[in-house]
Amino acid sequence: MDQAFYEELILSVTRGKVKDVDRLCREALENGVSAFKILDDGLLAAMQIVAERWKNGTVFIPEVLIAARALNVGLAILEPYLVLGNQKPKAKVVLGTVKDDLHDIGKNIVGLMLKSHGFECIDLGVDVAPAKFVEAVKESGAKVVCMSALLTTSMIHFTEVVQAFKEAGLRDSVLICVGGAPVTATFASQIEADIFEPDAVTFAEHLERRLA
Amino acid sequence: MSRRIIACEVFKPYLDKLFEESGIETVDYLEIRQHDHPELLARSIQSIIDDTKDVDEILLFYGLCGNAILPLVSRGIPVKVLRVHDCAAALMGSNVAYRKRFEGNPHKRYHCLSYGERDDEYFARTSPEYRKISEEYGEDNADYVFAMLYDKFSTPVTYIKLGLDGEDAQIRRKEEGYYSVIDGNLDLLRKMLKGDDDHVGVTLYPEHKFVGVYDYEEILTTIKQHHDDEKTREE
Ligand code: B12
Repeated sequence: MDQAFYEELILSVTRGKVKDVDRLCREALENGVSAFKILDDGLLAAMQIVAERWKNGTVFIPEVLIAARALNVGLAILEPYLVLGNQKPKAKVVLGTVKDDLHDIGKNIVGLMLKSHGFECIDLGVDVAPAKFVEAVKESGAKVVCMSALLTTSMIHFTEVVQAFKEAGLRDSVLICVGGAPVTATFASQIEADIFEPDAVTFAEHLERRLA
Repeated sequence: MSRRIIACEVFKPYLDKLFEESGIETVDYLEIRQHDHPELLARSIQSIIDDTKDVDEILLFYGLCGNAILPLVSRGIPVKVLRVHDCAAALMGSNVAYRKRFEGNPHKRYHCLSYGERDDEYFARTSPEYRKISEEYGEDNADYVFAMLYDKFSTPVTYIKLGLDGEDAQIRRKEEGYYSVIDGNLDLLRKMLKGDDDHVGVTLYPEHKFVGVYDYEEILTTIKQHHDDEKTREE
């Protein structure tokens, strides 16, 4: 597929043209393009553009949501091929928005990015109590815990989750990752989190490197 | 003492009410919507701060607001901001009251007169916002955006009532059970206007910066800014 193809795919994702995303992904697969290439040069490249625009303040929440939805459509088509190519998922990740917090747009994008990078995501949803994170890790054997918080009143709960893992004797067997708009690197290190990244794209790449 | 007041539009009806007691003052209001982009909000506030001359103090009716105010700097005139996480705490009259309501309440969304008005017109399928998304990205995308933003949240929404005209009518416009109504308290805003209680606000002086404390008492504080700090503020 030529450059024009990827440009069209990228534009279809950023403009939320789900039918076109669907069609273009299938076409490319039929033409023998690897699912990984379609993902990297099409879907993820589009998300990178949206993330950049969001950072610069040139797009708002609707554009972020619309692109994420389109990305999800493409991902669903590529998934069977990605799984085959990967042999088995990279690692299990438990993901959730902390207690008292209902914001999930960013968390869902993190989930999407992790999935795109071959991780298996166990999404606990929003308003997740500390004990639930621990329980999910015990049940699934996940090695990574991702917490999202969008409120300065809820990021306090990160500490409680870290504490709950300590009490369960599991602190050293999981990587604790935190993020969300108000979270900073300083705060993350204060609460003894292992990884912080300001956006989902950088985070997925970071985690991939860390677990390599 | 002369001063300039900058406030989020969410406080307009309440400040108007308080001005009935204390005398009318001019306020520069910024749209609630600016909150969607904390960096842009900080830039808007900063540009008003930068334009301000010949007053003794700038009063900022904002809270920590998801860290939005952290980048602000004082160019000489002290800038005093409310010691709260956000407007919900300010309208409940104290951070302690906010905490009590917030923790353990499964429906953690808040409305008040100004917020409700905005939400009613902004978030309905008849809103200009819906039309705009729909025209640009198609109706299915507009539906998706609205579903993700608002539809999936359970009610009741906590309605903070402060005894103003229009509140009852607004509450009645929603179906039974949409709101769980609580009494708010204007003491915090009143004290900020009066300036007789130091703890109600946090003052930023030149060469200092705000830092978040993330508890329910101090909320935020200021520290002396080092000259090589520009980078750390970016993190
Ligand atoms: C959309 C939104 C809402 C929507 C949420 C819809 C939804 N389904 O999530 C609604 C309208 C429901 C809402 C409700 C409320 N909100 Co709100 N909301 C926002 C807003 C505008 C955008 C958040 C967002 O989705 N951003 C887009 C995503 C893509 O960005 P993100 O979440 O930061 O995620 C990115 C990164 O941070 C990172 N990331 C995220 N999570 C993680 C996790 C890990 C592990 C890693 C590594 C990275 C990572 O990756 C993501 C993609 O790159 C923010 C302002 C802002 N710009 O942050 C306010 C904001 C967060 N809300 C705020 C407030 C006050 C509220 C309410 C209290 C309002 C009210 N009156 O009821 C309620 C609280 C509800 C609750 N208990 O949670 C304040 C927070 C103030 C505070 N106390 O901290 C903010 C900051 C606005 C403001 N400045 O006042 N809100």
